[in-house]
Amino acid sequence: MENIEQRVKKIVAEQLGVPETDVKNESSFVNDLGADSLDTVELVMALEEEFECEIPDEDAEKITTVQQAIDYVSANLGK
Amino acid sequence: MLAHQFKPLIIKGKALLPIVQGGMGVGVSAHRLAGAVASEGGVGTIASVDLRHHHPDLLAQSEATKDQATLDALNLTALDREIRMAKDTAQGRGMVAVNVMKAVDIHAQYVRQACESGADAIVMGAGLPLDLPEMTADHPNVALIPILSDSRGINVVLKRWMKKGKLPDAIVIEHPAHAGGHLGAATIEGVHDEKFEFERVLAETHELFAKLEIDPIPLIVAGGINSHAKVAHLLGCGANAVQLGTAFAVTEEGDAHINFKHVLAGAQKADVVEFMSVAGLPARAVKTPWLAKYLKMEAKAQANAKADPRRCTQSLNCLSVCGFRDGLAKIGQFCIDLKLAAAVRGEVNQGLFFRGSENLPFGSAIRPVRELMGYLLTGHKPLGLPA
Repeated sequence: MENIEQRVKKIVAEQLGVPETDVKNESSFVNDLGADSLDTVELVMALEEEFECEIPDEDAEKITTVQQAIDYVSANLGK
Repeated sequence: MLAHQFKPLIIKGKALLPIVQGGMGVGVSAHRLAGAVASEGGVGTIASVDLRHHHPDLLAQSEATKDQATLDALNLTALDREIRMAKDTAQGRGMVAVNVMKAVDIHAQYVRQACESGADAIVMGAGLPLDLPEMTADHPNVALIPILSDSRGINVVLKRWMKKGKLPDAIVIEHPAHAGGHLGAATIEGVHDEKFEFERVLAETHELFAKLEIDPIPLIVAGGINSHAKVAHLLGCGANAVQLGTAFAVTEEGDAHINFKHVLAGAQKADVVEFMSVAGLPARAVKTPWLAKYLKMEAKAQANAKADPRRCTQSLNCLSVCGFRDGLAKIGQFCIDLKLAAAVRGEVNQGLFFRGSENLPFGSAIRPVRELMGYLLTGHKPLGLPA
């Protein structure tokens, strides 16, 4: 079973169409991985689906890097 | 109401003419234009941003201050006045909508004010209006109309809103290759992408409604519509209404200075250009003297981009993210509020004149709203104009 970090990185790579090797913990979706506003919302929706959790808009806006996504999912998984 | 052969546009149970006048800021579509369109039975849209410019008393108060909260309050007063005047003209006919750009810093305050002042609908674009349902929760009778450009964006907004138990009352589909002002593509090169073609977006959106198992939402197409034939074609391809901007801006009732109307109406297709706005979106405007000068020195200005709050000389901070104030070298480097305000005052050399790409239905003629709406619905041009 992959851990949360690996699963998040895999989804980020798939959603943004970048190689998984480019997805670092510190990568910013917009500045480093070329995402636009639509990409970031779709990414949040993909994370919700993968981890079966709800990410409200106000929280979603604060998730701008891979690490923040990992932290959010880790903190909210199974809630 | 004007007689025509098309099905009405129905929003919140109200039957309207299938003609929408798009919001145009700063001050190009205010109470006079929106009120005139609504009183014919269509949807008239006031652009909410910085309406102080139509109110000399509020402008006088602005001169005395550099306090953003004071300036914002003056703009909310101006919006309140404009909505009430438009509603007064409409007398219950049609619909008075208010356009609020998501990219505007105080968009939530504009939305609240619009609802409190009696707007029939809020139209939001220039960003994803994900939180519009929350902002309007206390005003369930106000119609919510997002502006999007492709089915991907529509999919995201529908799914996020459905989680909150809300659906849009209509959706504006703006075509970045033809519309005026800010465009719904990430880059200038991207505006011509075939994913934005109306026929494709309409078909994909109807597929989306079926997939999500929701009743069809009225779809309003916007961009490049300049003839009765195009109206008939698009309403036959699954659109429920058409939206026009430039053609309404140059009507007699348009709220801008007569010089503004002559610049837009007199421009040829070759005079209309695309460039990056300070809001981070591509934009389309007439290459007037100021824009020509700016585009010549754009690369230099971008090389000198620097984050400096003092660059917002009016301290209005109109945009959440401004390329000029925030030093974002890839996007525009000028004060958009000053330039758009100069345009609405008719300052041809100083202003920025947003315009759609196509020729206008009545060429360079400036005619009343009623004649424009009549032509779009029936194909009959007023006497004295070339057929």
